[in-house]
Amino acid sequence: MAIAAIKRYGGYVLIALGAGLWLSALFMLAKTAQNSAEFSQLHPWILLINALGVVVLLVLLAAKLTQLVRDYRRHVIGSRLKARTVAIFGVLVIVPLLIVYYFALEFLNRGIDSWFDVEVRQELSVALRQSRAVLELNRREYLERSEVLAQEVAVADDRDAVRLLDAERRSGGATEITLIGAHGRIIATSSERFIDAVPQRPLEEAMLQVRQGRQFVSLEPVAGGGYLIRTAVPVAQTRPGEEQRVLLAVYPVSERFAELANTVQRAHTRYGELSYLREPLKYSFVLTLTLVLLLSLLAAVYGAFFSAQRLVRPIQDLAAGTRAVGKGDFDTRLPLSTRDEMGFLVHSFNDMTKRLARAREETRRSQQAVEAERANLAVILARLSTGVLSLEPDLRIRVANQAAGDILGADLEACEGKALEELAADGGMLAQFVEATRDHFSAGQKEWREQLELRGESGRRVLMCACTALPGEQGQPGGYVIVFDDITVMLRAQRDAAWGEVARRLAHEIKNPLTPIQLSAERMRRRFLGNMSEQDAQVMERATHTIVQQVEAMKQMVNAFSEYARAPEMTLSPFDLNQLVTEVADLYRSQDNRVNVKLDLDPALTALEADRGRVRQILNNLMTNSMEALENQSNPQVEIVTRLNLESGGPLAEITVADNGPGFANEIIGQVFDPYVTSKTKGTGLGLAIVKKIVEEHGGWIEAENGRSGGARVRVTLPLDERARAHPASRDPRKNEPRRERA
Amino acid sequence: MRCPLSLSFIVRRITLVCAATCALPLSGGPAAAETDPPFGIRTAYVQLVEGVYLLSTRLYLPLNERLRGALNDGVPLTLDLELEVTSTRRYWLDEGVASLRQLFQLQYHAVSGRYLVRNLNSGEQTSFPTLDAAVEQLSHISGLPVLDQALIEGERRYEFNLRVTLDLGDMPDALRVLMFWTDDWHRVSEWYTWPLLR
Repeated sequence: MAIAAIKRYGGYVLIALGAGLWLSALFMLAKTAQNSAEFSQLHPWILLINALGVVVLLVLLAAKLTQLVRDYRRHVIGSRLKARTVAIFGVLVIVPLLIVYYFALEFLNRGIDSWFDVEVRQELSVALRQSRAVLELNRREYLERSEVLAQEVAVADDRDAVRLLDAERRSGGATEITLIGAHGRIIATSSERFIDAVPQRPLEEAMLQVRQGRQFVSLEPVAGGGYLIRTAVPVAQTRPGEEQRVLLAVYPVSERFAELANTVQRAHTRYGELSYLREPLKYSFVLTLTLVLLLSLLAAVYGAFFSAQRLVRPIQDLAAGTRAVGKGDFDTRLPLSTRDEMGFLVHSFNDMTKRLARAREETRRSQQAVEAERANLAVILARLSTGVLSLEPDLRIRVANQAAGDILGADLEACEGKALEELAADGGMLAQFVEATRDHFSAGQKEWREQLELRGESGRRVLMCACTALPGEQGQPGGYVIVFDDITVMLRAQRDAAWGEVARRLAHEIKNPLTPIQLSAERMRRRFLGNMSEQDAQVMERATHTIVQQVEAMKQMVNAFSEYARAPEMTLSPFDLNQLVTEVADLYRSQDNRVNVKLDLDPALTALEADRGRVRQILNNLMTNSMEALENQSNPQVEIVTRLNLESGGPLAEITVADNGPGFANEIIGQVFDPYVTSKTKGTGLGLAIVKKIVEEHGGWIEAENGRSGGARVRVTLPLDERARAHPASRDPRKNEPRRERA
Repeated sequence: MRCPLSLSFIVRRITLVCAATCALPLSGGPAAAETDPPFGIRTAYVQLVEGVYLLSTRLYLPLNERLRGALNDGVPLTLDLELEVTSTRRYWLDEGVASLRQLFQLQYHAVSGRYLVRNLNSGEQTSFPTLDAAVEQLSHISGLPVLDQALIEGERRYEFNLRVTLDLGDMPDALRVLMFWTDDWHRVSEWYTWPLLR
């Protein structure tokens, strides 16, 4: 958190520090230019710091400018706006600054030059001359006093001289008056200092002048601001051989005059200095002004870059975000840095992407749900034994389930997108189906229901069809759904049940009178045969024999009926199917060795849990059927094949009996398992019906078809054990496939 | 009056400023005009008087016309006498023992028409009727106490280093920096070095 705060505010702190340092440096620079003592020594370093600031800013600006040019050439988003913003800011800053700089320079130079105006110099010269004149008056006055005193001293002796000097010192205001003789010998002196103080030494220049016979007077400034007037006057020699004497006097200038003179002197000195420093002063001010201008200018341009960057960054972010959204990344969130209009825009963008992400998520979920529903529907449709065919409004196939293809004997899943008309061209049951449905669609019927009877290679098929229109837009149908069931098996089951009932009643109703008829015929024969003529006896004999024989035949028929209709009583036990098949084959080989009975037995098929007697009956019926079909066949041949099938959900035993006879007639191939459906002259017509009944009692199924190379082929499939019988997958997985049956 | 509005004027100013700014940290001293006479120390020596070493030196202080003009305009001249006493070491840098700085000021007093020589260390002031007399006075420095004998150790070798600097006026450093590039206001002598003889 602290690091994030430093990252966020560090830049601003650095900028504030830099700005503070910069302003401080400029302030100190201005102070030094105005002769401020405290910063004077730092001036070179302040200059250096400011110059370094200029260089640093120049480098930064060069880097920024290079980056901007590179971005501009690469057409980086926001670079043009940034360049325009920087240019506008730069012009808005540079032009006023240059104008201010120009006029500031002008005012600066004119202002400094005005200090050294001619009038000022003249006034100063006047003041100086006046001061000198005033002091000259003072000098003359004191020189005259010294001359008068020298005259007085010239005629006085040394003792009087002391008195005269003292009197003059007191009256004239001198600080010291000394009379010296040859070689600097002090003859008399009067001083306001202590009595033992040594008089001041005469100036060399004064003594030099006096020796030349001239008087000396000078105005001498002293430390502390005062002035002294020194006079040196030779004392006239009144006596021959008298040594040369000199009167030295020191007079102070009054404080009032001294103060005025000092003021003028200071003004003169200051003016002289300033006039001499005029150009450096100008340079100094120009330097300060230029540095201030440069720093301000560069800082302003850098600030323009900074502002432009801040202005452009959200736009760049928006552009990048928009590009990301365009690519499908709705998780893009832009940083919300400001609360202005740009911030509002960024906030709106973030809100938009959030909504888009949410909408996409909802869409994805809906799609997933739809996909799941679709998958479920596909599974349901795939598992549905009912055929479902969905059509587009223009009667092209939209979806068809597997059962539809199985029922109609075509791969409808591969025909999705094709029109029904195209499918009608290939003939077969699909063509009959299309023909039947087209009649309804042509008649404008959107919803209809009809039982269709189709004929195919595997026989007759009865379908119960129902069509309904799917809801579409603007009242138009969005398509059609045709649902159809293969009710052939159901109809057959109903027929089987009806036949079973008929057989049971026939067996009951017919079998009962047969025995009395037979007994009555035999009784008639025994009673009347001996009492009749030979001719009548022969008639009686033939008639009763015929009655008994036909009654016997009727009994057999009734027994067969009762066999067909009787209730199942199975005894399930495991036995070796291959062995049973071998036994039955051997039996038929022995009956008719003309027929070639071939066996193809699966050694893996060891034990079948079923009613052994009934399975034997199955084999017997199928073999009988084949043997009867092969009676007039040359090179008759029957093949029995057993297989263990582990692929259809549970272990299954398959028994296939195939012959090379004439096969099933096409007109009855769909009804071969029905009672009394046969094309043969012999037999009851119940053989295959009984086989089918036994197979179904075992939970298996039976198929009958004509082989490709001729002959009939019947395949019986039985669950291998009770477990397989209970397995749902073992219950005729080919229920939806076309049945191939034979009589 | 010079017209400051011309472009060349501004360019010259900016060029001058940039040159001064860039060359500032590199400069070590002034560049005297080639035509100026030599400036420096003729002789210098110390005498031990009552346990104190007294400096006597003779300086050579020629003033060119520009300096004289400035002086007569009222600008004071400052003479800076720097003395450093070092103990020389054979394998290491010399050790500073004592240093002395004596400042004198030469000024023309326009009201009195005299030239003032002022010892800025002591405040003593002397006036002269002519500039040459004042310069002559400045050129002769004698009896200036510089070092206590107690600071001198017997085994070591000592050196005296003397240098004199002449500055024009009492100007701020800011202007000194610029004067460096505009005039020969600043004169500095070579170091005058002599060993301490005992």
